Amino acid sequence: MKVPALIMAGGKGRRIGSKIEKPLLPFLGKPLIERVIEAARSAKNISEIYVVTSDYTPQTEEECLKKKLKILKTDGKGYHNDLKQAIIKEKLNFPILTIPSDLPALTGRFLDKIIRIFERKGKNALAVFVPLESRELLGLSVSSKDEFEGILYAVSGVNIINGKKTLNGGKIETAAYITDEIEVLFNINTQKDLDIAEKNLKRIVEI
Amino acid sequence: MSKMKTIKAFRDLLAFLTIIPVGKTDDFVITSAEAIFLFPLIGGFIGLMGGLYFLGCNFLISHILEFINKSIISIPTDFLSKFLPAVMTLAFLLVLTGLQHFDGLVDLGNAIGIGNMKDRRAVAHAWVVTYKGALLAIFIEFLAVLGIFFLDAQTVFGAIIASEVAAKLAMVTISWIGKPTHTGLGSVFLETAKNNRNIIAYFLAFLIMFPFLGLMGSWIIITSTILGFLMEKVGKIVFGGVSGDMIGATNEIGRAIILIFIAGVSIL
Repeated sequence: MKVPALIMAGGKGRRIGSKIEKPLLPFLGKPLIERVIEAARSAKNISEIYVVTSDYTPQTEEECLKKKLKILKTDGKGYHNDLKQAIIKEKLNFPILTIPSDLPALTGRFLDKIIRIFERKGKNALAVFVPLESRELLGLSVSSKDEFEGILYAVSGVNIINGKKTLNGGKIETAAYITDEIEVLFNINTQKDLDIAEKNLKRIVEI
Repeated sequence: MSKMKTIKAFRDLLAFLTIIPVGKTDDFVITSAEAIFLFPLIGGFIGLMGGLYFLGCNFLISHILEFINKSIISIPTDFLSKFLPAVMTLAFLLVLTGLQHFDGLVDLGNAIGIGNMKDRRAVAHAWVVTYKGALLAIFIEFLAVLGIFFLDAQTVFGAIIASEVAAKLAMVTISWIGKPTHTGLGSVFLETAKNNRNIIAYFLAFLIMFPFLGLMGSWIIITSTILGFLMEKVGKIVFGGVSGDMIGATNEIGRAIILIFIAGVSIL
């Protein structure tokens, strides 16, 4: 099964307090979004890559256009709103993979694994969650939380959702994959997150 | 290490290994991994608390039992005045460490004997206690109680300290040589913990134990190190690598084995 990937890069990135748009922030010398694009490109099960941008991220859009990536421009009113807009705009009535642009350790192998898990679970959506304590133990921030089977988790932003359900409406049954793998463990919301992730990732992977 | 850094390291280590409210910093897990060579020192401190607690319990309970024996009913004073403080001291140590390591032991027990590795990891992550988990935990902790029970009055204080030091040393060994099950939080800890200065931990352990046990300390260090290696192998077989549960279980098993070891030697 091959699915298209939507790289979500339209957020305001308020918490990082930087003049540079968050997706373009250098992480160990390379912009965050470039790392995510490389991961998506190296995944075997991704059919095409879209970058979802907004008026908050004009330079990101420019950089992605230079890389000949497809851009889907949205209002930038939040992750869910932007995703819905993108799905409607492109009439994506099949499963799509969403990837946030702030996961510096993401790999194609991990994304392929998520797609395989989605297939195996056979639900209309799959959410990737990170145990709250795994992030907290490293001193990383948690931007949004969600409950699954009575337990709160950190939302990783990596999801697969069947666009058909979004377009047609109705209840979406979601499966979950819970993991502390570094690909989703290190997400960058604040400058402190960036410092912690740079310090630790250097130690464990070649990045 | 500068003075500030040293203070931070000790605070973070105490926060990592005990429930003492020292006010941990955000990255206390990383600091603890970086300063893992100081684990035996924290073990010494935990052991000291445990040793003092034992002496206190022993003193109080002997007097209470003596009183009951004289004025109310005849009870086996000798047995109870040793057994009750032994149980209470172990309970104290488990609570002082926030039951973290104990939880690892339960999870290891839960996972043993389950068909494939994926299911074993799942059951270790789930918030459950199976009969195997309970059995392993009760067996190991019972061994520790037995160890304290059989120790004679002269050695018991030093033995409790030594057992905590050696248990922490086994944690250093398994963390130093262990490979993580996957590249997640555990691998951040293990990779950070891999440092040649960890050799200091073995000397520290010896120095702490020497005043109480003399040269027997070196045998305890050897035993603890062998246990660290063995537990690494167990981790590889059960979980496919070393997880936080394995490191915790190593502490619990280490304490029990060393207490039995010292009790055995002192009886012989």
